[in-house]
Amino acid sequence: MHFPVDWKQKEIIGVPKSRLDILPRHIYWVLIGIQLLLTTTQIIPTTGASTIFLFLYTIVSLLVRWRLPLPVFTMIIDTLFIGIISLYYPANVIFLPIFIFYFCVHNKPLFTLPALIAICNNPSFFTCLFLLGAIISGYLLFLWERQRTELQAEVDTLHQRIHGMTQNEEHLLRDQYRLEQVSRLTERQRIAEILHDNLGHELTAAHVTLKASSALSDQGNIEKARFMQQKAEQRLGAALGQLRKTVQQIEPNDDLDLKRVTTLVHSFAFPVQFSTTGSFTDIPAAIHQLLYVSVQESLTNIMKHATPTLVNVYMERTSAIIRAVIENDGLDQSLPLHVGNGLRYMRKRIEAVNGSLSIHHNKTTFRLIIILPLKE
Amino acid sequence: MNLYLFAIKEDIRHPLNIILIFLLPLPVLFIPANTDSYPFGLSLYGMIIVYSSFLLSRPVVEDRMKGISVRIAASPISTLRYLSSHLLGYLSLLVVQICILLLGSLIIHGNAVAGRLALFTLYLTFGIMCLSMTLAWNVLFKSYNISFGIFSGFASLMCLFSGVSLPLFLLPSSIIRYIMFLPTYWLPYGLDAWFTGDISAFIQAHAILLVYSCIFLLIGSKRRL
Repeated sequence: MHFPVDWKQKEIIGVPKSRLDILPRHIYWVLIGIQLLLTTTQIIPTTGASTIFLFLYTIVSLLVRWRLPLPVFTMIIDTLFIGIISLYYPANVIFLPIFIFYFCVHNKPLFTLPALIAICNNPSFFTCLFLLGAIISGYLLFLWERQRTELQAEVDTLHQRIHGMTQNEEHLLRDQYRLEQVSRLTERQRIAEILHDNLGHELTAAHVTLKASSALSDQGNIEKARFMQQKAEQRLGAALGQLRKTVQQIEPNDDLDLKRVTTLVHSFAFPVQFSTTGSFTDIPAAIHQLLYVSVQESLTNIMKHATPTLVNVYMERTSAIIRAVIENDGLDQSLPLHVGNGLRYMRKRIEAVNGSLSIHHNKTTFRLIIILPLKE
Repeated sequence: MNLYLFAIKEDIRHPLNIILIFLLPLPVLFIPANTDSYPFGLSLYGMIIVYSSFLLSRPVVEDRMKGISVRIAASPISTLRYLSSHLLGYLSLLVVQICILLLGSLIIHGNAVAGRLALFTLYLTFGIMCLSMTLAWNVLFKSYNISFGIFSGFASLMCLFSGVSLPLFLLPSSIIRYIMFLPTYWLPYGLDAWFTGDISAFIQAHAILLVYSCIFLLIGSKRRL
């Protein structure tokens, strides 16, 4: 099913800075250096001003393309220049394999034709060997570079996706926070309304009646004053009753919250063994909600990725934490294990309340352990 | 003040540079003339150009060491403009030095040194090559003193084996084909070619010096912050 990916993500994000990273371009310049050295060994016996000039010209051609982003075809001009001179001074064909190497690195086989023709006009054992080496090394370098570019593109795409997901996640968490704020305000307003509508009226009436009773008592009308006092007592009794009723309305229905989880678990498609330890009555609403969505996400994942014979859901409440274990024995071994969005978001949400999510698996069993702290 | 004038002013502010530019070329003129070549002082002057170029290009290296290059990179001045203005400034000072040498040769050697315009062009090309070479050399180092320490030894050996500080005819012919790869070889080669009237060899010397300049400029102009 899913798999902890921390080490995988590290590999995707990049190689540690301290590691020596050998790139194709480094090997390219090393090979160019070797080729120039080999060329030097061949031209030294017949060195003249023109040979030195062509040697330097070859170096300039390569350096210009290192510093300036010239199109590959422009190298044909340099190749033709050396090729034409080598028609008159055949020893200079020794420079042409370097140009062929350049074209091979850039995967332009057709551009090598002028150089190949010039070499075929004046072949020598060393030049042919040099040419073969240049073609093979050039193409190997090209294949390496292509593979590297493809991998780089893949890594970039993954980075982009991770970035997008992280942004989505941030938005979701922000929305969740806002929703909690709105819910809290709505709840406060509801409490204020209940207190005003029910309790407020009775208390006001009792207050007015007591004032009237006091006034009557001062006037010496004791009978009426006592009657008013009885009325006030009735009003206060009614207010007390209203207060009890209101408190009952405001208090969260813990049984109902646990019932939601129980209903969710028992309505699951596969057989579930559900057990709890401890009281779940005075848990904060946010933790209750988080526990509910975590169990829901876990069961959804089991449905998507496994075919269990039994799913074991166990919830334990201690004085400091809530521990939930969701385990199934139907892990599909043919599917690769990786952490999907659901689990990633779940982990984020749990970590946002300082909790933890751990994943354990063996050949057939997959187990999620969720720890939610009850104290800050 | 533009960058070109600033580069010149920065260089002539040091008394050592003034001595180097205006006085150092003069002693080499007193080396006696040969019958079958130019006075050896004209060839030895190549070594003075090599060292002058290195000392003149000091501000560019110091800019990098002091982190001024970073500020320049952040300013609207492009690297191309910065480098070209500085190099042109140093080249102008080298031109003055070359003119002093050639004027001195006119006074001391008179008609024994012929074709001063051709010699001027050859020294100018050699000066460009030397400035480019020092630029490329300094790319390899972060400290000017270390760079100069190694360069002084390297340049002395290079001048010795390439016929600048030792006449070419004194060198064994077997090593000539190896020392042809040294850029400084092409100054005495060009001088000999002009003296013997071999115009094509003279042009070849120019061409090779310019190609060397291109190579060194391409390496040395890479921005290092």
